Amino acid sequence: MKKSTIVGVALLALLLLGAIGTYNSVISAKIAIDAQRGQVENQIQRRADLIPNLISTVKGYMQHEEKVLNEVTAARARVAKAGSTEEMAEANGQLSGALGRLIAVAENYPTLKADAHFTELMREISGSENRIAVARRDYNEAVKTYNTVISTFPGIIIARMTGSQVVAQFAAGESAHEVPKVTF
Amino acid sequence: MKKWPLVWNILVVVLLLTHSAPAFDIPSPPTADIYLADYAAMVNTEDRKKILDIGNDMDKRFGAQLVVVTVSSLDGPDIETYSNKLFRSWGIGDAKKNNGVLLLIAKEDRQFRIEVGYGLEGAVTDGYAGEVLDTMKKSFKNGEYSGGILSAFQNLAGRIYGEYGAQAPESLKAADPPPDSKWTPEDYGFLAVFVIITMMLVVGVIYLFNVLCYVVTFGHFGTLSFRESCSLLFGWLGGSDDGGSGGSRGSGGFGGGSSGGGGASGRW
Repeated sequence: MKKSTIVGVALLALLLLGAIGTYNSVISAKIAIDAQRGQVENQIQRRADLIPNLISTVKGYMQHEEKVLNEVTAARARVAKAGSTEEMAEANGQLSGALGRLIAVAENYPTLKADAHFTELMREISGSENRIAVARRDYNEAVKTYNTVISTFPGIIIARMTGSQVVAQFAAGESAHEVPKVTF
Repeated sequence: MKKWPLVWNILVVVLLLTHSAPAFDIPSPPTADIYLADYAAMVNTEDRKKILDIGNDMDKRFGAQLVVVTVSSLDGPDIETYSNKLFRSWGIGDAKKNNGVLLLIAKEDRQFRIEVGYGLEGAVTDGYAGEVLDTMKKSFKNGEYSGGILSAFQNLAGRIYGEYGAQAPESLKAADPPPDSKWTPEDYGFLAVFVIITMMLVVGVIYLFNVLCYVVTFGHFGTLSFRESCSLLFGWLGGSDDGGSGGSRGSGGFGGGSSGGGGASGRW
């Protein structure tokens, strides 16, 4: 065999190895995004699951606040029905708004605020709120990593070949989904 | 859109890189006495020792890390963001079990937070974390920082011991009113016998351990430091110490655990 053939084969092998490595890094960055997306959905779901319990606790104390309570229940139903993560995030924002109004109203019911079960539920809900925020941040970090991988050399070559597109981050501002805190 | 010019490409990358998480400083992790990083000097010497003892015990037995951090000020970010960043960059708890808990106190901001790693979310629920903070708040309002922190630590530790089905050490029960002990001479006799037997056992185990080290290291034991021969021994046995991750972690630092933002926050 000629020397040039050997060099050619070696170069080709190197190139192939590099391509495989790059391909893998693009794919694992994509997988990380999907995993984080799932995490965001889980945490939103987790908070939504606390709502029926909250409503039944609160109902005993505030009979004349139908409007606020219905708003919360409706928002929760929208979270449950959401088809995509974006829809879910949007419904979650509405749920946060409704919860905020509920908490504002709860200020007028000192006996409700003193209820141990209500306290516990509100703690779980604000804990979940923070989990959602962390999951969103992690998702955006994963998206950033992926976008960087597929828009820089050598990932960009693989991205062009596979038609990978830049993924959008969750855009809603932090304040849009923040629940006002209850003070005990 | 498919055929991006190079300049556009570079621009996108620059934008992606600069649009990053809010930047703020967190203190660098302590290398010794990692269970209490008292940067705001809120804990007295006596309570400090109790905290470190319990922290050490839990780390050794379950690889769980319960850590108190006091800082004078957060300098910008909200306490949730701050504590999550600190938790993750220090790596509190075991990397696989994620069994860390952080009690963070920002003295001048008058804010505190308990952040719980994934692995202990069942033992320390958000509700319980809030309860612990409520109790601590009462002490803080009376200006009892050290005592408040100690009993919060003891409460959290109690949950962690419970999670692993273990008996908490005596020092944990200091939070309860001390029981009035009436010891008879016989009790003292039993105690003496117990102490002697324990000492003999300990000496025997150490002796056997030394012999084992000596054999495994092919006589290098004398020339190696204790830690080196131990790591050699544990390396040799291939992670046989599944009881706690202290051995596999070796240096006794943080384990690389993470948190998903569970816990509770409050202010006083």
